[in-house]
Amino acid sequence: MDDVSAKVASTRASKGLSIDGQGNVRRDVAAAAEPAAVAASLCEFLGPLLGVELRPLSARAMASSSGLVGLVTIRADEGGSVSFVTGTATEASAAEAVAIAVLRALEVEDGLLVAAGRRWARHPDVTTVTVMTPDTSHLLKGNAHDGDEHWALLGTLSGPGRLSVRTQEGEMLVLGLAEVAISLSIARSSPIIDRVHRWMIDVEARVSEDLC
Amino acid sequence: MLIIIGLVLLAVGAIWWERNRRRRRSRVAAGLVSTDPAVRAQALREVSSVGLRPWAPLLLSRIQEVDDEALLGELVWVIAACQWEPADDPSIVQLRLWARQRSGSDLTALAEAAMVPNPPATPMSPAVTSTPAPQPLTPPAVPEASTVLSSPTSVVVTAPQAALGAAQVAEPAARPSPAPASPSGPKPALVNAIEDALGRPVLAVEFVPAPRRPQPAPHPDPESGGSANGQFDRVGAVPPSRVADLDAG
Repeated sequence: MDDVSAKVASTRASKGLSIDGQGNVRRDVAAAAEPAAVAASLCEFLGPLLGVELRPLSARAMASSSGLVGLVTIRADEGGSVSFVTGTATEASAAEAVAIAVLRALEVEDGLLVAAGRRWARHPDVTTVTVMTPDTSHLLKGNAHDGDEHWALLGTLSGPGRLSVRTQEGEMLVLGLAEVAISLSIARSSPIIDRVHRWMIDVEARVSEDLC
Repeated sequence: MLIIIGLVLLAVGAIWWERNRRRRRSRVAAGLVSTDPAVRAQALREVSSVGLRPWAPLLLSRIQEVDDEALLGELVWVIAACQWEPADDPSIVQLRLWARQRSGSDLTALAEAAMVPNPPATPMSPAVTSTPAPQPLTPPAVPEASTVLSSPTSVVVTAPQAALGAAQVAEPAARPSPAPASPSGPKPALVNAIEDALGRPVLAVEFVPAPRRPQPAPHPDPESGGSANGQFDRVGAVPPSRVADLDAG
């Protein structure tokens, strides 16, 4: 392992953040961790995976009758379009409350692939986006026929991995994790194909090592 | 002398500013409790542009005393429209928790509700939306680690460890394109499976398995009949040995 690889591995390990086989953000947040540090590390981890530059503006936990209420405000810069998102969560520990508040603010509480899939779906060259679990298929964009094709394509995978299929009409890219997969149909020769491809590599590289 | 005049002007300005601010807050506070929907809407619009903080105590008392559904809906709306405001005040937190409980949804749904153009009597624009403008994702630039051998209907299976390592450290590189058509030959099994699944021919296929990593011993689930470690049942459509064959071939 060269220096850069070692540094990457060290950084990932120290933050205790990864993606599990269901596409959820897995975190080993110490209960005593500072809320600001928790929010900052989550934003740093999720920003590249969502294609957004994230900066936590405030992160704090306040005591309430039902536990600790985590409150976060995050600045999201997406290609110059700045927005502010907030999230709240009530948990037993301040760090966990803030962590969940960040996930809610960024809409990744239901899984990273769904949140990222919604973003990819906004691109005009992306014709179909499907997120699939072992027994369900969620069509985020496109028609039912294309969604069925994605489902059929998933059946040809021998295991988790990345599949790309080029046809006359376009390209289909599939990222399969242990228990969830995302599939996108993209118009042929679209520049976004490379981006999706690299994004899939990046997500796969962050899958927690014991759940792949 | 000039310094004294400057100080006096500053003092006059400060007094004017403070009076103006108080008058504005009083007007908005009066508007919030007005029975006239138009006046109320004006006040709500002002709150959504300034923030909840100055009127948080009043809004807290309003949510206690008001029982009219329409008025409560307006309060939910204005709280959702002020999500840009940092939640560093207990009153604001209380208001948001109330709004969330009342709407039965999370803050995102509230923000969407805030974008409805006709909540109170007159349309208002939320200060900030929670949905960024459509933009392509810009993940870290990483290269494709696999070596594409594609011809029309070719399969590539690459070493997963190499792919992972390169994904983390290498410089950006363009994704390789399929090579020109090669002499015809038997199609790999995966290509056949994909063409069967899609019901049409494909030009190129590339499959890069996930990196093999240590994992706990499988626990077969006889009830589901699924794969041992909870993976996709349908993933087993192509046995792993076929991938190995393709790799070797």
